[in-house]
Amino acid sequence: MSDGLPLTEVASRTGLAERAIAWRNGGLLRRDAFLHQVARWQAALAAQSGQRVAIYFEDPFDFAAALYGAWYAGKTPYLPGDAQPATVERLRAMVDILAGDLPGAISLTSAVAAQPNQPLDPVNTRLVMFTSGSSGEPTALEKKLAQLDDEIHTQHEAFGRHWARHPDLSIYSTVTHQHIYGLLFFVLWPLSAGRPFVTRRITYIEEMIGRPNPTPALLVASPAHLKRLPDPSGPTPTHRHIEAILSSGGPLPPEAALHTAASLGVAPIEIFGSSETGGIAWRQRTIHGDRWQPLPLVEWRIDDGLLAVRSPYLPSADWWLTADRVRADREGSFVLLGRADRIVKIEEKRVSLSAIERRLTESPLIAEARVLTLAAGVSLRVAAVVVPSEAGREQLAAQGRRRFNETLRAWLADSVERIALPRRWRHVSALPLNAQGKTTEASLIALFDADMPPVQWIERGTTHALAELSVEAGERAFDGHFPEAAILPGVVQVDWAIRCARDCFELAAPVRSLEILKFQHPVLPGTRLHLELQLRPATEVVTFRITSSVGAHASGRVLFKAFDV
Amino acid sequence: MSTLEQEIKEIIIASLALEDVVPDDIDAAAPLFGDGLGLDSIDALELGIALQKRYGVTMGADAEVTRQYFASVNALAGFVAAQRTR
Repeated sequence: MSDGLPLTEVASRTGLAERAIAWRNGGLLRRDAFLHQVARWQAALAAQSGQRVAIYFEDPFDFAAALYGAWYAGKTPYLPGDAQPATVERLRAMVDILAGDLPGAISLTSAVAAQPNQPLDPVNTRLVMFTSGSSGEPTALEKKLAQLDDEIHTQHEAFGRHWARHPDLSIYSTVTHQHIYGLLFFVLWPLSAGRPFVTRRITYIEEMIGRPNPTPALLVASPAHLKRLPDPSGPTPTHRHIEAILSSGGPLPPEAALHTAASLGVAPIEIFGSSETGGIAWRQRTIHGDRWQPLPLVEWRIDDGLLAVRSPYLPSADWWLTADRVRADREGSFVLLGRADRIVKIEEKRVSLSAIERRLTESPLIAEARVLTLAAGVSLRVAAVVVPSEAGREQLAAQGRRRFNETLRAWLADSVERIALPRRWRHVSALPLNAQGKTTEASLIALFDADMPPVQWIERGTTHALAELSVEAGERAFDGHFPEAAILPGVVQVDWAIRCARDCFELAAPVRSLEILKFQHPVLPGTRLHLELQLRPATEVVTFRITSSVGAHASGRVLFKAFDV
Repeated sequence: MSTLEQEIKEIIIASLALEDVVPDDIDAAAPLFGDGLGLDSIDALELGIALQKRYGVTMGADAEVTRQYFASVNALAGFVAAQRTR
């Protein structure tokens, strides 16, 4: 990165006023505007008592300015992964100040002259972020600025040099900067490299099509988005401008990697790591196959079959043991063999939930399975969320849920203790994913509470959200409404929209009225619904639209309390 | 079918949170444990507590006798009818 700045100097180096920072609504925001915004945040935060400030923004430019403003005000930024009510609740106990798109956030100082800044201290400048919570509650992690700087520079050395050479490169992202991967590649690397990021996060890769005067682009993507790419329609001018695609935050299936290469013309650069460890290794499926290439300065070894790593990106110089099973391959590369077993104790018996999952997926009826425990009465009980295969779906439709589950329990009975046989089952067409493309334990547990299909959040903002809900033939909402035909009742569609809106926008007030309700096409079993929610700013009025590949199903407006229009 | 048997079936479903099972699915003469409904030792504990609450019956310490009570819905109904205090 010949013209790259260390992260310590992003807001201090003089003479780069014209440097591009971000594209917002088609206009370029330059470094002088950025420094002005940093100064405003610095002034606003310096006026607050307390050391710890939670920073959450939809917009990465505002986020970056508040982040540097907080550092220059001598504060420690805390970056929540989302703005869910439960997250904000936990956060309030940890911080003194809230900034950004959070309820109760401080307001920004109106105008202030940008002062010359000193470079930040690489070791004493820190931030706190949170793990994604795929295996339980999110945990707080502290990162030094030096760690983050090391990461973007070595990852850039490993796989970024060819795309970074474009002076007019723009960065697009489907992932939030509130998590480590988006923070590094959507915000920090662009700030360091002087390559602007596009502030509006993209929901569908197709949004990149039709950009006026397309310039070379880097796409920071999640596996969830790449798995949903449409079929290749032949290269378009836009695609030719995608220089590179990054994929991280979860495994990218080989088919999806190859499909992306065929659709968009470049094979994704996959990055393996975690919030705790930082980047560990990378690969490009078309070149390396299954083999992960360790990132520079990352040492690794095998401890009891599990991958252990040591690197400057870790908080200490000790070996860090991951929960990933691994084997060595040629030339210093390694191949991952899946997660280590999750063991729980039920009635003093050790039960491997991973072994139950593996056995389930060996069944021709099952494509994917997640097994968890639920508290029930006197003990824990095992529950399973399964994605039936094509054959499984047919058998489920023919047999019904009870006999289908009995078949699966019988399949497991050879290798699983009787008390560990799953007692409760959910059948879904895809595992629930959050906006980071992860299946969290909480979202699996929620399947056992609600009579609603799993919600896959594609986008989840403070005023706009997009979710996908797959309506299965076995959905309880079909029971008993229309005896002759399985049609999803309109009242159920409205109920789902309301529940998603409450969840997403933190709306606790009762529903006062429903307006301009329209029901168009009936929803039949097997439909993948898209639910779009729009909160009118500063109100409790939500507009929803339910669509699918068939067309529009329902739309309307929900008023959550009496509101003077 | 007697109302007691019907009631016990409902208690089994509710206390064990059985999903996708209605009383008519349970054969009153079929084994509850093992091959029949597929209940296990945790369920026996759970069901014992529910029956105690509802009928005031207590399972003895003798595992063999208890196992006989739990043989089927019919056996449970016989046990409850003989021992119930409410």
